[in-house]
Amino acid sequence: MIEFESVGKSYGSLKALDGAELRIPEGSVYGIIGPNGAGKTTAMSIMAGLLKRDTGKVRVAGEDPQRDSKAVRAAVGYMPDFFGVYDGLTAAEYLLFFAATQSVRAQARKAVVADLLALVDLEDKADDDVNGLSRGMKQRLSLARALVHDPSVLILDEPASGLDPRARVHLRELVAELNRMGRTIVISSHILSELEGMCSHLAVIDHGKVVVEGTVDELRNDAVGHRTVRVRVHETAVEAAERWLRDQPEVGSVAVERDVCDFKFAGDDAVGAELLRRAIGADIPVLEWTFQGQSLENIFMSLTVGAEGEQP
Amino acid sequence: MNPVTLREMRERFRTLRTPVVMSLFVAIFGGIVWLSYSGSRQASYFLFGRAVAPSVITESAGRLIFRVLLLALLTAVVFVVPAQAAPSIIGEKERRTFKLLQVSQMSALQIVLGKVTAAIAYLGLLVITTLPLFAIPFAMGGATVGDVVRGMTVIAVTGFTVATVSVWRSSRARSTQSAVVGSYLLVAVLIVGSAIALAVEGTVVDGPESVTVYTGVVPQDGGRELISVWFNPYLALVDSTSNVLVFQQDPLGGTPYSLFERVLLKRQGVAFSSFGGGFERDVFVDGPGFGGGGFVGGDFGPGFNNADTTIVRRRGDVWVGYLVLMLGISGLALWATVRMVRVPARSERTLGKRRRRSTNASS
Repeated sequence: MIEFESVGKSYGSLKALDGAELRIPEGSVYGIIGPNGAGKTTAMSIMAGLLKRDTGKVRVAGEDPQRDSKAVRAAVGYMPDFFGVYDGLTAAEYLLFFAATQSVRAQARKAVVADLLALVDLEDKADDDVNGLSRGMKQRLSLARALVHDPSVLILDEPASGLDPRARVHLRELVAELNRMGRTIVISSHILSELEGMCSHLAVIDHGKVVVEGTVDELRNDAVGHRTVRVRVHETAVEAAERWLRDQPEVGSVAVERDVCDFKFAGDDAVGAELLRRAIGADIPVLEWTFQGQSLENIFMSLTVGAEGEQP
Repeated sequence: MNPVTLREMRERFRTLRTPVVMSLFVAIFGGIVWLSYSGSRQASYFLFGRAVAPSVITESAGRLIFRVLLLALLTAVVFVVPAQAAPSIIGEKERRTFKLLQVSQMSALQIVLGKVTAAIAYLGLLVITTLPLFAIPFAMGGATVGDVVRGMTVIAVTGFTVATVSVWRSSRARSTQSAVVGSYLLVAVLIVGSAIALAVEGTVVDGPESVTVYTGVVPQDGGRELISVWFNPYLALVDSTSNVLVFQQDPLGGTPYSLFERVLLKRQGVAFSSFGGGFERDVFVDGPGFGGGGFVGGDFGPGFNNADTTIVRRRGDVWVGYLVLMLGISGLALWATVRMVRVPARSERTLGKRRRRSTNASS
């Protein structure tokens, strides 16, 4: 659906994107995470047909945004990380205006606007001045604006930024609903837990490069090259279990707390299963053996360098 | 209708400011007509008992009113349009709505034309409110339909040019304030700059030796073209509504056009002489404020009379050239603005992001 192949983009001496590679499958909810200045907004602007790339190839809905920007703009609904507002317009007029700019047929506009207001739960605010809406309502209205021409791809830049918890939940439900309706959704955020609950795929981007991408499960398990296993053993064998674990070549760090040993190891499920078999063979009284998934927060911190250049 | 124009008009006409400005505009123009008419009446008292037909006096008064109205309208255009057009693009960037327009199905040209149209549509409405006032000089015989059409065309094209140039300035500005100031400076270059250039050109290029003193025969020299006249909207307006080479009786004296007509005559090879009463285009009237003598009649220099007042025309119409030039400038301004608005863009600035102080803040 959306492909980035070695995409580069510079602003003067600053490389915003440096050979970025992305493959966003159709029908996915694709999260892009990265620190400030990582290149998220630049990538999204290129996807939306707003910015020219310097190098590489981009395909959005089968088209090159640089060659056929209009076709890409027809396929894409873009919601920037801010809410642009015109003075004196009501919520319905705001959407009617953007429906007109998106070449929605004049006869259909009112119905489209009514449907969208219902979708984002702003029916009762149709005649309210846009300026008077709360931030959460404005975000939902902005989402409705991005949907006004019924695009197949939605690009949402930091949509949850500044929203209260209730509004975030509402937004998450909306994104899920839109995805169920068949739309591919690309979403960036700093609120990692939000992306975790919302996205089917994730990409971590840092210093203009896509450090890692894949499904959320793949990232949790593989992204940082090691997995954590939590082993609970009989309380009489904690020291023996710790010694045994430290002797195994696949095992990295080991942390012990009461009868629980947390250890990291490099390898896939087969390696983990082999370790368990060997532990039982070594008479370690294993009561529980659990593969721990990485939290997105951990993955993000492990893979990225802070805006100030400090490794977290 | 262009959605951008429609939205801007809606936004503008919802405020109280618009009806207030429109009322003031009509009041000012009504005042101008009233003052011109009163002045004409006062002046006509001095003609009582003289050999001037009342219809000639009425026509002269109508002409005065018409010309004052046109000049006032052109002045309004060059003052009002930049204020309307200059905030157009930068205003969208400041409201953070510019990207939303750029990702829409509207082409860059449609967005820009929408902005230009919105700027001149407001003025167009103001002009329409003054149209009934133009019926007065028309009824008095001071203006023909052709005069009105040509004059309005010059004003409309001037408004269009000022709007396109102001929108272009807006597309490059970093703030509304700088866009407005920049737009007024560009208008000043057009009007004051061309006037200064004309003064310099008249002195340097068209030196004293080339100025023909009109002596009653076809000028030998034929004058010299003054390039600067093609850029000045006031000269174009005067040229479009008054043929300086055709005698018109103005028993009430000169109109505000007189100043401009001297320049237009000069480029035709006609100059004011310093001898024998000199070249006097208007009817020379003996009376208070007109010199002495009690004579009323045409005087185009020695040997000329009212029946023989058309001078051979040497140069083309300034107003036609002006229209071509202005439409050319408008086309260039539109092209340059479309390049600034078109997406995908080369830089973030074109998309409405302000220059960042820290590169860390990017993206």
